[in-house]
Amino acid sequence: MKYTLNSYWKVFWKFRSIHAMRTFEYRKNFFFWAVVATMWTLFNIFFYKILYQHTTTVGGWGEYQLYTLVGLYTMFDAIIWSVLSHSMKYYTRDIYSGEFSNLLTKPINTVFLIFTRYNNYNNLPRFVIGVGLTIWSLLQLGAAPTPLSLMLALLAIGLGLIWISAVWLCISTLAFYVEKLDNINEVFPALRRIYSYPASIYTNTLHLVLTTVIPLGLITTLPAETLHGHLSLTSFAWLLVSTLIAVVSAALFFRFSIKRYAGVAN
Amino acid sequence: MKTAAIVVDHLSKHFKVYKKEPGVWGSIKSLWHREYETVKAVQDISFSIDEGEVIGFIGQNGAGKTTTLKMLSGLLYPTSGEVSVLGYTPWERKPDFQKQFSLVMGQKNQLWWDLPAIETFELNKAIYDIPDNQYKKTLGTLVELLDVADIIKVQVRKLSLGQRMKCELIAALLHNPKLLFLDEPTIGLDVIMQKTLRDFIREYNREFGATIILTSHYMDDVKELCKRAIIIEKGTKIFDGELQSIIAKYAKNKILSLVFSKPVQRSDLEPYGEIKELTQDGTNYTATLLVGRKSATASASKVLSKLPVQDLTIEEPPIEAIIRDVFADTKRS
Repeated sequence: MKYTLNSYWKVFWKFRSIHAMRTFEYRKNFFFWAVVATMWTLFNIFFYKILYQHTTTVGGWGEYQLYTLVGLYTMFDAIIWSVLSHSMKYYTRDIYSGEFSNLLTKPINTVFLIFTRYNNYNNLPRFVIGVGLTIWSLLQLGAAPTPLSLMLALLAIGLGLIWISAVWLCISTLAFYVEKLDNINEVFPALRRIYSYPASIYTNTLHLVLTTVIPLGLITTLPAETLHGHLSLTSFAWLLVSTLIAVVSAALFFRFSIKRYAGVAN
Repeated sequence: MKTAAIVVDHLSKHFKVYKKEPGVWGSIKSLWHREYETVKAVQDISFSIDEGEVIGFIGQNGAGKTTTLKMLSGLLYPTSGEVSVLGYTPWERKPDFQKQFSLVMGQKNQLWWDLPAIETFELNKAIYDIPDNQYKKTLGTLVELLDVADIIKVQVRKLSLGQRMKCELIAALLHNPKLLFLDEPTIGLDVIMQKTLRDFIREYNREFGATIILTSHYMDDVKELCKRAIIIEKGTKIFDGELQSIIAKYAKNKILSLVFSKPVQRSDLEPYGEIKELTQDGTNYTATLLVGRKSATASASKVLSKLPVQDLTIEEPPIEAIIRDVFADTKRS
């Protein structure tokens, strides 16, 4: 019997329900982290509020325009801390401890399992704040995105997430080559500061690098600009190409590296 | 004629391991220069296993048993050799192959610690795409066989090791695998639980006709479940044949452990067997005797009637001792 998209869908939601049950098993821990994550986000917004008391634009972006970007960044960050950070942490840890064997014997795509088997819900309030901030900023700007620009913005968000996931998978896959890489999963969270600002604040060579070679600068800027009605087709096409390159590279690197898996001796 | 479920042909697996010099200076030197050594974990082994067979795969720690099982289940790529498991090359990891086997490692677990085992069962139902009716039927059968109806809804972290192992087995068997790799499934369990699991494994083999490869340090596991044994030592196969023939040749004795209520003399015990140990320290009076396999029950009965016995157990000799003897014999020949 062949696996269908429906089979994967069921497994995806089964994992989500497992983690919902695990989260609610320790509800005080959940509430505590939800408060911490919310405070973290509010401080970030507060920082920009203070900044705009001293200037009118940052890299050519007005206050509410920037809040759209901050809203998108908050949504990305919530997803990264809820899903990717956990998945990659357990991925590298399992390679080292030998628990990765559990995934390799399952009759379902291993990369799918790596990305879907872990998540937490502590950052859920941040995601909601991100969505709220994005909508609120658009209302303040009087921007009314057309269905097409809304769809393209969502597509850009999706491409950004896939690009981050693919590159992060490449980095974490190094765990097959180096026995213990405790900090390897800190690399990406450190880089996320790059797309917490508009790409326009980076100039000259740095701008070129961050919008082409490593298109982190496009991750939030592109969907924000699209929502503001300034769609850059070139940037969009490049993010698409770059994502495809990242996905193919990650898949090939993973397939090649998995041959080095040795597990642990019993 | 039976079909071969597993065919292993000149299989080898070598690992490169780093040899660290002792002490801090050794660690400092290792920062820029490391000496590596090639360990031949499995070296040129060949065998075949028929469908429905239960095989004891035995060897001392580090002999290469688990490495072989990992290659047969597709976790490791071999250095050389060919393997066919249920007609598939395991390390290609085809889903159709993975749906037909299960690997249970006594020291690893797949149950979600914070949740009842039933949640892991439900997850495996989704992962293995098990139809509803098959899932309900298999779960019902396994729960009944292992008598765990009252614990599958209790958080895993609140279960005993034995209860967890039972649930691990259910999670591994829900998709009715044709082939079962059991790596030390009874490790750490008390004798009653070991017996329960052995009975279950035998029953599973009988009911589902599954091929089973079992590794264990407990002679009782292997003796009760397997007609055939493969002994592996330092990565090389040193025996493949009837388990009974090894037992007859190398395990001629059983171990009689005795606890007395009063002191007994060495001369009181000598008629019943070879005395391996006698302790008389004023509060504990214990003895260990080696008695002939065939006369073990009769010897035990005589000891019980003649001496002040408080407790008595008859045990198989440790598997390691038998392997050592087989290995020594192989080297001599």
